Amino acid sequence: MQENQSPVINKELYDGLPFSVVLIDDDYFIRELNPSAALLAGSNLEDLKGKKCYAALFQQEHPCRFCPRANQLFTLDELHSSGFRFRQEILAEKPETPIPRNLYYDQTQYLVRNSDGRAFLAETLRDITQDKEQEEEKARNEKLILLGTIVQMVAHELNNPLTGLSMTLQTMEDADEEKIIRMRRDIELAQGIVADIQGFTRREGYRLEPIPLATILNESIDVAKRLFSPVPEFQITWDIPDKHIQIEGNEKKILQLFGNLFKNSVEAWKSSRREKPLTIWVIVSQATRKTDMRSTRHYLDIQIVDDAGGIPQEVLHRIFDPFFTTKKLYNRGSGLGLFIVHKIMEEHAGTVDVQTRGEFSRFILHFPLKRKV
Amino acid sequence: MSKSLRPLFHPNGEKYHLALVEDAESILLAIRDFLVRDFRVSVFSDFPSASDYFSGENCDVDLLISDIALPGGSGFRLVEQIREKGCRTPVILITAYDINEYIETIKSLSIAHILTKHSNLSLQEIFVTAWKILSGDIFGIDKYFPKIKIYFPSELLGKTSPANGEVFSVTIRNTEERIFWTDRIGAYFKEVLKIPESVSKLVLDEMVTNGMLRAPRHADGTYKYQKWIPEKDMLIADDYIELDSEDYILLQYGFSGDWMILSVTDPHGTLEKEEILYRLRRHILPDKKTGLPEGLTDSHGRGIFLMRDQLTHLIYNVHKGKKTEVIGLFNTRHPIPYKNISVYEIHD
Repeated sequence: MQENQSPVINKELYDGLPFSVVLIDDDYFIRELNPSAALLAGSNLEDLKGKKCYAALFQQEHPCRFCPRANQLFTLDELHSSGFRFRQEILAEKPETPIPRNLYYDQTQYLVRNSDGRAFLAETLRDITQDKEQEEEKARNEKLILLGTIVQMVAHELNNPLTGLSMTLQTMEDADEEKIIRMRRDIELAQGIVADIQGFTRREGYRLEPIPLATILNESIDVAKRLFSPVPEFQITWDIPDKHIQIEGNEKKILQLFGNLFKNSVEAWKSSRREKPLTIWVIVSQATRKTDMRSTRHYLDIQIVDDAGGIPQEVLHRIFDPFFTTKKLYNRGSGLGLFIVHKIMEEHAGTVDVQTRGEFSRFILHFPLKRKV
Repeated sequence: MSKSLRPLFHPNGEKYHLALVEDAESILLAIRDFLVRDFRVSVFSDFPSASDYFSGENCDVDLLISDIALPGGSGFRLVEQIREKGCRTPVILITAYDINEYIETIKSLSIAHILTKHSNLSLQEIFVTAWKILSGDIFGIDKYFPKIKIYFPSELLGKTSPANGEVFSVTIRNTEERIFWTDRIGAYFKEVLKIPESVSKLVLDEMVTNGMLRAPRHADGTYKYQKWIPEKDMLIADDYIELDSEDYILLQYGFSGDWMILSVTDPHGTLEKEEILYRLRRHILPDKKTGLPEGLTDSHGRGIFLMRDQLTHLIYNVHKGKKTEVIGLFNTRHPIPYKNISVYEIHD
């Protein structure tokens, strides 16, 4: 008991912490907070005092669904006596148009008493979104490198028999017979898959040059408008001041990258049989990420968001796998579209993330920048 | 498939003799079946049997078509063997691997025809390659597309957009026309075949630059329309070029099905097989000291490397001292740069 009565609110100590610390009372009002918490809430420190924690930190109207304290029937005083202490990873959302963005926090809650003996809920929040994304990216990379190697070997081995088959068909006199045309169509399908694989495994001559992003985006959208029917509606938002920004890339590969993503949206929209027309949002913004303990790197984030029906959570981790598809067997493409997207980003020293929520899907392409815009 | 090329006979009145070496039986037999109507074809499915055949004194084969990776040895070893005997038999290599790995050997053995073994490789392409080598009749895109209709400048009547199966020909006489046509054709291919202008214009610019700037030379070998700056080892083109009438170039463009067709012909015939392979090699092979391709530090021959890098098939037809035709083919259904390259040379 002696320990509990000592002053626990040491301002110098928690003001210097690089993660958020908030003291909350029994009615969810914020009583104290450190500058990191104000930064997280995107507001002035003094203005946040006296606000409900769920409104100030997470823009909610009610206590957050993931809040451990909210699921307790006891007062803070009672919880303190019971030794309440909780730590978890939480998934929160940051409001963004057209859909909120996922943020991950390492959250702890425990009870403290001030010198008057009054109990407060101390909550710490550390933003671990980047760590989570990097962790997922690393696991995904390892899997995809292995799968890519296998796929490449298989394609090479299939090349000979397919070439033989295709050439033998070319020598057949009755080449117009329907059964032969059907066989040829199947061979072409298989050829397309092998060609796709060869296309991303042949890398020589692959030069990265500065490309004006706006130009290549517009060109990709023009191509999509010509190729896809019905035509999706595109909404482009620039969250950076400089619309003339250039990315280091290979023009053909970048066109293929956007093309594959747009095609993915259109096909998802078709297979979900939605009546509402398809909208694709393209949002360009800037972000800074840690590369290691000491350094950070600037990125250009390009989000491709669609309302084509969303992706089932249970398949989200397989979405970049080669030959993974949710489309119907007889309507599918090569099943390599998103695998190639991942591969192209890797070749541009960038990464890609995917999120889904309700009818929306969001792919975020992170392109490294030489300097801040 | 219609071959549409006239029957060919050896000067001795018999059919030409081809040796075909390939270990995949279905490919071997398909090529044989396709070629056997026009040529006498001997087939070998591994290195030892082909090597045995060539171990004799004579060079009685008019053309060797070989895979690179063979059971028991390599296609290169086979070519070395016949070259050691002094046979100048022309060779077509067909390989599933990237030829960049072999560029040094390809150059040293003077192999001018490399076809990538991919499942879209057409027998017609192999047949045309063989036919052109043996006949010496090398010019024209209609050899690859027998059904195509070619329109000459006087037949166009202001039209600039050929329909499927048509090829338009235009004459380029100066810088203004060069800019107009490269822009126009780039936009045309983007419209009809959805080919990025970066691809079609790169190829077109390179072909036209070659025809306008590199080919025309004075009697002493110096360039007519560009100057060499020795201290920078650079060639600077004149700002505005008005070609002399004997230097006009012919540009042809159009499409057939999935194929983009581009060709530029100049009336000089200055390019050489050795030089093309040499230029390609310096942009592929890393320099021992720097680890980077030698060609990175200057621009000599970069165009050949870049064009081949974009195309399904790049073809050079050269009549020494008379005419050079550069043909670029690009398949839009499988837009993979297969990088096939063929160099045909004829001399008077």
